[in-house]
Amino acid sequence: MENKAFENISIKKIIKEFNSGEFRRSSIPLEVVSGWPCLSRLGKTLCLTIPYFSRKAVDKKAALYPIYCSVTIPLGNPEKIVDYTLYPIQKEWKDVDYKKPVGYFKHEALNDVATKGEYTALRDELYGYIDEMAKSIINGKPFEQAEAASKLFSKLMEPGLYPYYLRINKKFYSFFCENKEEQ
Amino acid sequence: MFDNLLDNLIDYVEGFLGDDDENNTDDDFKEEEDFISDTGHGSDSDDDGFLFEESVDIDGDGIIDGVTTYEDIDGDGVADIATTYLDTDGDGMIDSATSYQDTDGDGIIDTVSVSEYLDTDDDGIMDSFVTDSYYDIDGDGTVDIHETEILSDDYHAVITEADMDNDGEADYIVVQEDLDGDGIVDNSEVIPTATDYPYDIDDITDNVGNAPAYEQFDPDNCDLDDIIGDPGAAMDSWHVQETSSSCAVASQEFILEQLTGYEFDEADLRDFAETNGWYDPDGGTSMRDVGNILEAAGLEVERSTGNSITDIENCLENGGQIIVGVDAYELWDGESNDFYLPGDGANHAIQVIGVDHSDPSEPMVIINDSGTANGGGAMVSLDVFMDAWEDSGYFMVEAYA
Repeated sequence: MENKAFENISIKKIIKEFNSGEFRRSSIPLEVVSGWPCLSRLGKTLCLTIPYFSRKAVDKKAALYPIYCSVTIPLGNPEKIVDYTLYPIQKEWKDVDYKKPVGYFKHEALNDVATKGEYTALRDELYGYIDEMAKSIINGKPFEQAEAASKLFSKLMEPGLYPYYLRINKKFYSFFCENKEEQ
Repeated sequence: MFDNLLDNLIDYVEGFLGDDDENNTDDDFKEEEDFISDTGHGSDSDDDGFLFEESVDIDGDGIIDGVTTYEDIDGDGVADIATTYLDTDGDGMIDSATSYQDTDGDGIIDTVSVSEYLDTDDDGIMDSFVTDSYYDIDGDGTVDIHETEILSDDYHAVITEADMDNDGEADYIVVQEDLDGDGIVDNSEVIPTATDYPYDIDDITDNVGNAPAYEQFDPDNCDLDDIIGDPGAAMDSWHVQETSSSCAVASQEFILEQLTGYEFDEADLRDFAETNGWYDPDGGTSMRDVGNILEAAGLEVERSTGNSITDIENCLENGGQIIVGVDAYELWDGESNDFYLPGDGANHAIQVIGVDHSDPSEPMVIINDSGTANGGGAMVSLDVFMDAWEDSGYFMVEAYA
């Protein structure tokens, strides 16, 4: 039976609403921004993980800092927090220096993306792919746009942050950024 | 650790005026300090902005070489600035000015500036104005910052050397250049020069590197009837945040100083907030915790979302002070389409200090932005401000004495 609840899902909208909500205001520092989300299953529940990192502009480029925290929410019940992880206090992340940038934006793969409008369009396209992937998972169908999504995700993913995204969910990010290592 | 901070908080809460009598043994500044305290009393009877002026015959030849003026900035009847203007070559044109200033009104000289007109290409025409300023930031009687400003028609540079640990060696040098004289910093770099400098050069680099094309509010060149709030006074509390994650702490510091009249140290406030779990050096401050420092000082604090510019204006008109959450890059780049960044959401706290309705068709919001090198009294259009503010859900912290 097809799950109609996800028919009009918009992960971009879910993230925007989460970022306007009480948990964001109460527990996540104002100074960090949300990055590329990932999908995962907790039992039968399809969940969305939203990572947060800080960035500091220096002239016309931006220093990117390691992922600071992440929040995981059920896609079907986004007001419920199923996990909140603060990475600087995690044992596995003790080697990370939060005072040093891990890279600078924009990266080389975006050299042909000249304007904010073009970049926003590419981001929207990627979020559309992730929406489709969520629907495919929920309905047990193959995700037919995987190749195009992977190509786009690899282009948009910031190389400096990529190792930290992999620490959060290697399966998801390595699948979608399978060409990243080659860039 | 928090003695100074807590003393100030307690002083404020109890309504007790602390004793600021400092025993400054400043040899560098002592002579000028006596100079002002001995001579700089009176009133501005002719309303020319100066307490009084006196002629100067610097070489004792009986010919007047210049004039020394005494200004009373804080209106207490005591001169805060003594400036000597000299015409050393006798051509009838002022060619140098030396100024001694008591910036914090404690009766102690803490800034000395020496300005000269120079003919850099030796064509007989003065083409550049060079000012060397020496600042005693921590009041210990030694020069902490030496700043050189070079200004000509098509070039503007500020070179800052900092020796905060008083070892006689610059800890770092900051160079900022406007290469085409258009008012926008084209080149900025921080050069660390001391291997044992205790502060994070990356933080300084991040902060100094940001110089958006802000216009600055000029309290001397506006019709106060068009201004909501008291931005001229609030600008005085502004400084660049000391770490990359401390915008909310710095914004609270500005408000504390404005509402209590006491000076606070950002590092003390960061320690205080971190101890209480309100601030994480690696991340920053959550929106809900913005204002906690103010509450600890006994101020009345309200937090809310879904606000409008009318709410801001109402708060300012009622004597309140405001912090809002914004997307910094929307604020700094305005409606520019050629710069973009990854990530979503508000990422910066700023203080709103006024709204300027001089041009009713384009109101300007006046802010203290600790994240940029030119953020004190910065003016942004209402449209740009609203776009940047939207990302926090129009989050606002109001504080009242």
